[in-house]
Amino acid sequence: MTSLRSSVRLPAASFAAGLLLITGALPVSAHASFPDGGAVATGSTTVVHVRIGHGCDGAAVDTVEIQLPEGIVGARPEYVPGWGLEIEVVPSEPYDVYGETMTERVGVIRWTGGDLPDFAFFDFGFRATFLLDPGSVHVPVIQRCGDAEVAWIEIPAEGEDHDSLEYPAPELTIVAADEPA
Amino acid sequence: MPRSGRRSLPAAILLLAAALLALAGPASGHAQVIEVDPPDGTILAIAPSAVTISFNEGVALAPGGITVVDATGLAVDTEPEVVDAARIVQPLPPLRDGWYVVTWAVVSEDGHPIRRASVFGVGDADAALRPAPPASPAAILPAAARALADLGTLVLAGALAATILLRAPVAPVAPLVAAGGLLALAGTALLVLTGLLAAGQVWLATIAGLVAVARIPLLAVALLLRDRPRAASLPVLAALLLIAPGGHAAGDPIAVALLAAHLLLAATWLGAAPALLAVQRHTGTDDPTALAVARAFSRLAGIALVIVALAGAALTWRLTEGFVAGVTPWLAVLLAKIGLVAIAALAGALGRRHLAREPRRSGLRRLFLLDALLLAGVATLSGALALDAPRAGLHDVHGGPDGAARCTLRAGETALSAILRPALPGANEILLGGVPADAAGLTLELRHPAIGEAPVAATPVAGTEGWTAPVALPFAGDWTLTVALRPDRFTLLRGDCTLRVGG
Repeated sequence: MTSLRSSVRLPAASFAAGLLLITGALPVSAHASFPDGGAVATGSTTVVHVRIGHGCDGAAVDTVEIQLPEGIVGARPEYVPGWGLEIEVVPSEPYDVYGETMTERVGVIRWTGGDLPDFAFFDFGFRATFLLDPGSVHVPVIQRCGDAEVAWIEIPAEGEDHDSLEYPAPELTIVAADEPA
Repeated sequence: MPRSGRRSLPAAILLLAAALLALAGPASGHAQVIEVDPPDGTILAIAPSAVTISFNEGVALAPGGITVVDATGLAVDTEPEVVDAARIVQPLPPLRDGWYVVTWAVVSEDGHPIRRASVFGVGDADAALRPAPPASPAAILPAAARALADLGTLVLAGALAATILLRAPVAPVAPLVAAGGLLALAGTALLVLTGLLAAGQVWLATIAGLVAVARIPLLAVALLLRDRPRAASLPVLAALLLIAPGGHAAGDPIAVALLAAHLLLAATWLGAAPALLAVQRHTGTDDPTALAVARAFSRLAGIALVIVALAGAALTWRLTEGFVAGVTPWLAVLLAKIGLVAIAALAGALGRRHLAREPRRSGLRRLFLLDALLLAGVATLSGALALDAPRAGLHDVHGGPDGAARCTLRAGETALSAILRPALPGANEILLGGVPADAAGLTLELRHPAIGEAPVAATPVAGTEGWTAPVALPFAGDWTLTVALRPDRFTLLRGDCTLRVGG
């Protein structure tokens, strides 16, 4: 490896330090969110994760529940070692799977029995088919720490900004099929 | 390049990276309030020395910080707050009885601002907010003082006008100048006294206070110069015109000008009546002076009456904003005053005819006596007008006819109705209808633009679809009630409506 010229060493180190400063010290967003849900192609089958960024008032999270709105079908939760898994099937609008018409879908996914400390975060994933038109979709998420809970279930009203709510339901953005992700 | 240099650069970067990662703070959520002291909704016997809000983690104050306001919305937190890691301490000056609202805005480490509010009362908090009972005996005193001051000034000015404009002889008029001046001085002094007693020193900074105090030396100078009418006319004119800015016209230059014109002409017309009476009684039966004065007055009176009436009408229109509020008690007193003036005008018209035909001194004396009495009546009624408000709407309670405010809202598909009683600042009760008693997760919040949200704890009323909640409202205005229902764990339905609280 060629040695770096002395005139480049110091600026390079500063730049690297700066990058690390930015990426390393960024606080993880405290709202439950879909970090990889910003551009889900309509009609696609993909995996998204809901990020639980903290506990309940200092307590560790032992249960995470999400309610999938109409249009998110064929959901399969991602297995999390050490946590239990439960799903609830709900009646739904008819939709087509390999030529067969379905009238039910997985409506609730629940990870249970875990121990996610307040100072940590975790991304709980699921794979599903998003039969939704382009736009925003809000997915209510509840995290529980024993008897305490934090319910990310506020849906913004017409014209209301998602970020202005205190406990907004995490938002998925569905985009047209030919748009780059 | 030395070898040590080539090895040390990547090492340095790694070391730096490790250090930075170690320093990077843990992900954190919203700062939670652990304790508010004094607790929300409590009434303390003794005013607290500070408000303390404790959080579960370090917080920074958002723009807006922490404020403490009293029932009128005036901020009472004069000293800077102290932010001590996870606590905010806001020191307070000695607080009077009443309700106070604490608002704070903090930013937790994730950068999201949170606004909260808390309410506490001191001493007899509700009594401090109850409107003063109307027409208490003590309220008569300022009205009487005003009436005396106005009467005295009008008599004084009228007497001088008679001497200067109507060429009345000085001798019979002089006692009236003295009497009018003394009455005006006494009345104005009493006015200043009642103003200070009612409102304290701050009354001296109001327009009414300033002009009242200014009139006293002017009247004193006029009294000293009572033997020299022309010299006295200037301070008397000033004292008369300074009555105008001190009444309901205060702050409205056009209204003040109208009132000044009204007073000026009233002085030369009704104000001169006692002086004219004195002239009639004093001079000999055949003295042409008295008749000449009466004739001069008669010429002036017609014009004066027209101007007085026009200025008065324009002033009333302006003060009542076009009679928008309809016939109010104030308007009724004004109509009585107009009635008296109409009688005087009629008597004056008859007097003119009397003068034109065969003037008899006794007739003139009766006319001027009548005028003098009417003057006293008009001055008294003017004092009463100063008591009340020209527009009834200014003192209306904005609640409904039975002292309550109502609104309806929709939380999702559920229609709810809310009643706030008595919709006055202080202790209130909210009744929420349309919610099943087993409804889970019902939360109420009251929001006011000045203070942010204040949560309200509601309890169901057995056997009905209603919930009730006590709530303390520190001040009047439009409060937004937000009701949230949680029919299932994943659904939050919210709606809001506005409750108007009068005061």
